[in-house]
Amino acid sequence: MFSWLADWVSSTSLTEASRAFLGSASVVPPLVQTIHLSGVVLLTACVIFPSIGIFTASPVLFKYHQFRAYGFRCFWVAIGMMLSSGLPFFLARPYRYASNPVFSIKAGLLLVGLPLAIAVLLIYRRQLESRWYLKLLAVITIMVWVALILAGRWIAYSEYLFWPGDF
Amino acid sequence: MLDSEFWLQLEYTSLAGAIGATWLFPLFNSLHVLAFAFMLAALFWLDLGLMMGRWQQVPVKETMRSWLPWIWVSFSASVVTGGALFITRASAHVLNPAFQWKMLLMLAAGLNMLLLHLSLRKLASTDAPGTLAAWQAGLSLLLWSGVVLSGRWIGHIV
Repeated sequence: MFSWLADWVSSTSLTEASRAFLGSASVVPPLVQTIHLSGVVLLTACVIFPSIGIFTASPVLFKYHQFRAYGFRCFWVAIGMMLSSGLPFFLARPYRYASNPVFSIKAGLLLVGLPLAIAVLLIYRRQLESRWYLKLLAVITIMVWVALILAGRWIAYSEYLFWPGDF
Repeated sequence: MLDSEFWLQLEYTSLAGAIGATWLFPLFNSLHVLAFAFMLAALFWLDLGLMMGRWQQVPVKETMRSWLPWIWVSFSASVVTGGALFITRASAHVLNPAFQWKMLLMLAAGLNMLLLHLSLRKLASTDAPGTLAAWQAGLSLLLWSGVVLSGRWIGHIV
């Protein structure tokens, strides 16, 4: 699905530059992965927890004022952290990711998850009441973002569990 | 103690074999990441609440009541899933410096949390957190970031 992108990336100097960056010191790959994981934590904080608040209509979570105060800022910081830390790994090995079906699933989930996350945060910003359709939206948002977190892990696992030797 | 036979024996148990050689390993790893993400996300709101609550005059008890149950449940899940992953390569993990740092930083984070709890217990239900609590909350975020970094580093040291 992303083979055109992998073709283009590998024809530029981006792949070499990313490999040089990731290989510049032994601390760089775990450090970049830590930034990525911190982005995941922030997304859990500002997308999944507010969604749980809407779904359960819990007086503690749904009325938690910090979601309204910091939700959007936290969300954009998290997206920035995840994209900037995920990009070097994609650029360094574009064909590895482009040929992995779990990576395509992750990209698809991201396209669905972004507007859902914004919708959830808008519910808090506008201080809407918890209705059944908002609860439905919240539970879909939880499922999509949990799947997104798990997809990140399964990009690596799928390589040796389902298609050993292909990567 | 670290190169004791005990860790090898742990690695050779049928449970460790079943986890390490099957789809249970990626399953436990996925659950570990998920539980850890939930724990740190709850901790993020708790620490942010304690740091910002100082200026916004948010009662300590409200912040604690919101997040402590989430932290304890997800921390317990992290420990169980992390333990399941650990026993599959126990003898290598205990000698891995990144793993040793992870355990040390978790101990420091736990100690910091205990001291924070003790100081907050003295406050009345409507009180806002003080300066010390705000600093301890900041330290907590820093220590847990170190735990994440060392956790990621474990796999890079063979």
